[in-house]
Amino acid sequence: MNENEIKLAYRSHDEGMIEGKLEVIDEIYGEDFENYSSGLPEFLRHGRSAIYQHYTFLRSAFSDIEIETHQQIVEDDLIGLHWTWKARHTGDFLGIPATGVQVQIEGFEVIQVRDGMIRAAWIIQDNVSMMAQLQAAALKQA
Amino acid sequence: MSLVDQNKDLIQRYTAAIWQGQSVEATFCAANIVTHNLASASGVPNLEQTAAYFRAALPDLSLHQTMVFGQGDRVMQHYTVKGTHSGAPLFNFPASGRELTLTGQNIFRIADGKIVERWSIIDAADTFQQLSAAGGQS
Repeated sequence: MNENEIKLAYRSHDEGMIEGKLEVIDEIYGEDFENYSSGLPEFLRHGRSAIYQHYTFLRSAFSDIEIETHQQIVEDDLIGLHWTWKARHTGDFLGIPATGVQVQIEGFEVIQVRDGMIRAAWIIQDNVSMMAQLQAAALKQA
Repeated sequence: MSLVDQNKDLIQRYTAAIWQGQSVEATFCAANIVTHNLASASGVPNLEQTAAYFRAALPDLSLHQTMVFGQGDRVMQHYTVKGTHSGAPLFNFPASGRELTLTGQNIFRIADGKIVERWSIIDAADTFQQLSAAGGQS
């Protein structure tokens, strides 16, 4: 995998999720993209629209998103990342109204790149902790 | 065989043995292994104990799918384990008789043919969702 292909993983985070330039999704992801992550609803699995909807949803619930990458492992067409994801909760997230709290979780991500585009992803992040952090903040404000 | 291929082979053999219920922690891991659980919900110290906990709940479990790749001294693994929840309670959910799929990822650091550091996560949120859908009560 070349350097530009490795950069796709970071461009998706930085330009897409963080800066909200969702038009870059067309350059970064293949039309045949599949998100194989466990626990995802069907509409967040297939094609570029899955990423559009995922990032739009995240950006409606969170601001000041930061991703710190701790480890990167690259072999053949696979990139593995270990990161910490931080954001401020400034919109409704799965029924929890904005609390303003900063949440932080760790996660792993495996993406597959072929012919210059991301074709597949397998992501696991600590969503149990995310919900616990948001619920604790909501409870404090109730 | 390249060093990366040797390391990947080590991880394949190690995790296959672990999920078959074999006691191989001492064979594959350095005595002073450092472990990190990314998910704060799980405080289980080694993979053997994690596998034993799930095996008690899903006695017929098997390692279903595994993707392993590496670079330098690291190997990353994505895996799924499938089994029927017919044994002990899992996260306080009683046995439902339903098939569950557990998904996890690990990063291993390997030195001189031994695992010296491990970072792990299991998709607990997805497991809870499956347990809730199976009609169990927590």
